[in-house]
Amino acid sequence: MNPKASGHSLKFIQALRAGFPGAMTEFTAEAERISIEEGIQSGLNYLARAEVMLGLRRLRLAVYDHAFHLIGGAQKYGLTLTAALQDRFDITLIANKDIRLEDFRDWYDLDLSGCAVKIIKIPFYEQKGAAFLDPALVTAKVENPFHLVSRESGDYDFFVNNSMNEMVYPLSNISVLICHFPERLPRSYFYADRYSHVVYNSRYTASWVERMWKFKPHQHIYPPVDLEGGGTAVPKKKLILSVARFEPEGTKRQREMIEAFLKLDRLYPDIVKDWRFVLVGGSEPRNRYLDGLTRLAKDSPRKNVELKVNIPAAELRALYREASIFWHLCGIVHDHPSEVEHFGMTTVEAMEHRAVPVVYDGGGLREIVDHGVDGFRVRTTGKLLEYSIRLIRDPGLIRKLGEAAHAKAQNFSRAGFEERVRTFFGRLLSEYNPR
Amino acid sequence: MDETTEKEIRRLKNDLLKKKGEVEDIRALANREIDREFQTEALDLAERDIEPFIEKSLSDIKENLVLKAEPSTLKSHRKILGRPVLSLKRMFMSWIDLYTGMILDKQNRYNRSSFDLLKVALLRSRWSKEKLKDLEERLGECEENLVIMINKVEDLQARLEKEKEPAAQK
Repeated sequence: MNPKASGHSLKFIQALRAGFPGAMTEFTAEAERISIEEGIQSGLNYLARAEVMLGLRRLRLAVYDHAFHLIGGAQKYGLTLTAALQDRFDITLIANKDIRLEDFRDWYDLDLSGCAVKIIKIPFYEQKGAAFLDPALVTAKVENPFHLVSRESGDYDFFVNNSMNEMVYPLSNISVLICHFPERLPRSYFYADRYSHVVYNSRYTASWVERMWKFKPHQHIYPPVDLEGGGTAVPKKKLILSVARFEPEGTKRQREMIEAFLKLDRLYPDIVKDWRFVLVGGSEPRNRYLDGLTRLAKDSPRKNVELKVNIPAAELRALYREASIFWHLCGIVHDHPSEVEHFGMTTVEAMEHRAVPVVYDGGGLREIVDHGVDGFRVRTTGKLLEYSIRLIRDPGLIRKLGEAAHAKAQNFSRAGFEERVRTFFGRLLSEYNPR
Repeated sequence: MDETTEKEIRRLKNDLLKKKGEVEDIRALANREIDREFQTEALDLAERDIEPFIEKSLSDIKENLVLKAEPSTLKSHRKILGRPVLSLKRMFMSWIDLYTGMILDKQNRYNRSSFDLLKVALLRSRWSKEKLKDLEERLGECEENLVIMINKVEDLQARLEKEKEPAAQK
């Protein structure tokens, strides 16, 4: 919405800032003209920009996510971005379900105490009693329930939509859509192309934005990965690790990995003697897929498959430190591009701790792991076993690739992410408030 | 910045905020039509979307499978002359229908055959998909077994060679 007021309109604000005689009259006339010809919101946006350019108040930024109340990589992305911008903006977090800022400290180690929170309940979902607001439920047959948020977006200078929800129409002067993945083809209430800037988390995501939404997103910023504790190398244990949420649909492919490990154990026990396979992940209380995995692990003859659900961050870090090999097969079976890992934050975390990644050759994982240099990429479970056996037999290779993986992981640090975010928003700011 | 400027901006803003409060429609706020029609481009569909698309397309085709000449309602605004004109028109149309009916029958037969062929092709593609999936699984299993067996053989060979060495030294 009117991201860059025309040079002509800006001239009146600049004249006001310079204190030229008669500037106020011309400015008032311009504001009134804009509100009549371009609409009420454009008029308000013009005044908002004038307030900022004249130093009457700090910049206002809102970050919206309909899933802030749930733990997730996308939410971590949006909130880390928020933390990085706290000193430059007055920030409001907009959510549709109740959230507590203290939770973000526990979940992501982020201090957002300087932010305000605004909860906009969406009656369409409240009536359904849904814990998760699935945008796919909204069809052209119903009024767009997210327009409550669209309306709110007009009260800020900058509006950042961190949701995988392209149904919020941005009304602010500057609008940024963080695209974690284009989940749906354009259909009713599609406004992704109405944002002044679209940020993407990996080249994989960008390629699908182009294919599905038919436009090029603007800014690439990789997700933030917490890199701590992997500074010095510690002796590794005979441990293969997997870290991924236990999705009820099984899209992270833990079953395939357990079956491959158990097959190896059954057909050639000598090779994985003393090795364990540990799968870590978060899960909802009721999860049939996880129940199935638990049975599979329990039935393993040598009890060398372990599942660890919703464990504390410290325990996970200890496992990362001990692990020699990291498996991640999300995408190995898929019938939609969104089922392939868009980026792969846990893979980077494992690499930082010198665990050698053996991961699916697709999606964002291709941007993280260089085959044969800092890990291996595979397209089948046969190849997963081949490269894993090679590593198991050659501790020297684990050390060599582990060191390379550690070095590569530094490219995706939280500090680097914050730097990229500040640079990007700094550029937007200088356009918004030219000196 | 002097107080007058600040006050004037606040006045303008309050005025517009009041107006905004009275407008419910986002389109009115944005001062433009914001919703658009999007046609699904079949070639953009992902695997997951194909089955629902096929189902919908088949039901659309089925609905329009049989073509019928639309019976036209003939009316005339002329009170006296109208009747004979209408009778002549009807006679002419029933004569025309003889020919159009023949063409439409042929088209209907063609449509039905095409539709049946489409259904059978779909059936074959579904079976082929199942078979392909099964083959992929079996191939995957073979690949896993092969990897394990190759390693096992290599180990056995290495062990054999180790056992041969002391014997050769003796």
